[in-house]
Amino acid sequence: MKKAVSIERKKRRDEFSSKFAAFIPLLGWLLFGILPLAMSAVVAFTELHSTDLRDMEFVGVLNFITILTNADEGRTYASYLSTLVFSLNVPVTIGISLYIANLINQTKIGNKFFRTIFFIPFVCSTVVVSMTFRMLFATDGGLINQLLSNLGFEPVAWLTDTPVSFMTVAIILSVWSGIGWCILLFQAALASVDASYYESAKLDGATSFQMFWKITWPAISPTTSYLVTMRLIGALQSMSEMYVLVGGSSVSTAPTWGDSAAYVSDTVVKHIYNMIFENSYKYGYGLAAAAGWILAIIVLIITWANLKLQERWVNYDF
Amino acid sequence: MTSDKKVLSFPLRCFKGVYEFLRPVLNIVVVVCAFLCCLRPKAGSNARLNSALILGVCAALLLAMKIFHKWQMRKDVYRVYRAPAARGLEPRQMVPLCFTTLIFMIPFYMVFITAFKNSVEANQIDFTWWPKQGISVDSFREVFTIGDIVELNMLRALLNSFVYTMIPLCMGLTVACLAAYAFAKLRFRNKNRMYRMLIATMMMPGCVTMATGYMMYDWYHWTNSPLPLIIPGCFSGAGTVMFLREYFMGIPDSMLEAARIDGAGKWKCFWTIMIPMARPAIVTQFVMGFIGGFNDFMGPLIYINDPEGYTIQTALNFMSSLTFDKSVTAAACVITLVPMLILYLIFQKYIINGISLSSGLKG
Repeated sequence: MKKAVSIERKKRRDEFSSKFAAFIPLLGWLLFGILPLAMSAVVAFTELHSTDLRDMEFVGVLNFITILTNADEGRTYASYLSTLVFSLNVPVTIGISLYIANLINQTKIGNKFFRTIFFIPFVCSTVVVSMTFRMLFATDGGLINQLLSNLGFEPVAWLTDTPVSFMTVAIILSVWSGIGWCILLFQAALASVDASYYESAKLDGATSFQMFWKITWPAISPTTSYLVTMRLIGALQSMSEMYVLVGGSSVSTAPTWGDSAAYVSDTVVKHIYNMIFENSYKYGYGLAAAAGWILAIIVLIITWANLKLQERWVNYDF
Repeated sequence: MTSDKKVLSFPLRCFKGVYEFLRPVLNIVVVVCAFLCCLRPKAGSNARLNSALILGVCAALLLAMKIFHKWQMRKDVYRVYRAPAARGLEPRQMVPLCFTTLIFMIPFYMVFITAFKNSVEANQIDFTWWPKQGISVDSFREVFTIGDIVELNMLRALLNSFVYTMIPLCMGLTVACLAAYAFAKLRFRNKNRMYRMLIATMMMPGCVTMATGYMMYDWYHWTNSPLPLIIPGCFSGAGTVMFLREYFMGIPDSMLEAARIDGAGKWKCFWTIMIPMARPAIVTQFVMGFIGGFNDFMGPLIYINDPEGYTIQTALNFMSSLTFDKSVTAAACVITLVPMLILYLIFQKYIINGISLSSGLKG
């Protein structure tokens, strides 16, 4: 009897140590994740301009109304417009990387080398990349403007002139830094397509265009949809590149959308950042929390829509 | 070669080769020219007209070749004809590939070359492709002295970056290994429920807690110190645990059973079997974690306001607002870049494996 108890106890202690090992990551989340989340749900309904909760003033759903009706000097809609335009980098990246991945897969020599080269920006920080592009597109002494003036064009003040010129730089930056990751995954997907499909298609006299749309595209559709989803979510939450592109301080040098007060560089997350750290006396933590929730819901909807759309066009039969 | 190969006439063969080679080049030229047409030409220059002309000619050529190709396609001979078997180096793929690679490398080239220019040449209005006034390393020296007035020290920033990254990485990886082992191989009550909870923590987007996270750390009096960057990382994250768990699941149970029979406890099994066998996965996570931590910009930007505590990323950002000297900025970029490049070249295999695995796609 006594022995049985001690075995039981030993077993329980044994189980406790396993459970504890599994529990530590959850503990981290309980300590540092759940409190901000719960607070965010409360603070979103209040007006708060400092980190002191005693200044909290309950205002109901006013924050959400402010954001949804664009009542903060039109900055919210402008920030969503910026993000939307910036998201144009997704199809461009996908297209270019698919083309390059296809080329790389068709060569026997040097495909490792090319992959290595295209993948380098992945390990570069956003600060370095943005700073590089700031130098590349500088008005005076920038490489691009030098090329343009050699060709007989006026130099362009890329980062300060118009929304179009600024967004061009931002999109090129994003494409340049994101291409390696897409190439890597596309390459793996392309290599896994069975060559016999192509052979039989060739025997039936298919053109290369037909082969692409009828074989390659459906076969790599899981990868494509994964990349589109991930890149889209990334683009929605982008901020560091914008922060550094406009000079890396609170003073923005970016052009504004039309006559409004909203900077082109203020994507949604950058706008939230500004609410907290640059303009907290004006907007405050409550509004920022509400804006965060709305963005989270939009991200959730996009992810969900993507999953639904995937059922339509993604093909897992290959 | 197969017997169905028929030989095309020589001019047609030439045309096919030229078409396949020119198509990507012409496409790029058309896009670039269309882009150039939107820009404002200098006074008295007909650059816009020229680029429009080139655009038209290229587009017409492309169209004509496409139509001719399509027209030839209806002939059986043309369709069945196959190029000789790949000999490894095919100009059809190699030329556009090298071309794009060269364009792709321009930003890197520019940073490195600007860093080695002297400050006069780097800041003149004309960009030079090669330091004509001689290679100088003054700007690298300048990087470490420029922040002295505002107590910004790039060397310390570099050290800070390493410390802030390594402490949570080492701690977190240990924790993650233990947790992954428990989830993969050990038995305890509520295992699946706990695992599902852990996965659920990944669903929370960062934008929601941006404001309140800062508030929380401010209550703890942790702002303006590296603690918000270090402490949460020590508990590891769901992504790492998931990745390692997948790998641990792949290690056969029979290995553990054999060790158990020989009298090893579960933690002895962990240290002597699981850790050595999962080394590739752990190295992958280590490298990925290091890259992520070292390149993190938002965290230090939000929580550390004192130049003394800056990481290399925020220091780089701050430094660029102190100076207008392009060569100094470029040199600082190079200094930030080089450790990562070395790490990348050494651990490339692990990084690529990690990405392919964490995407969860086949291939």
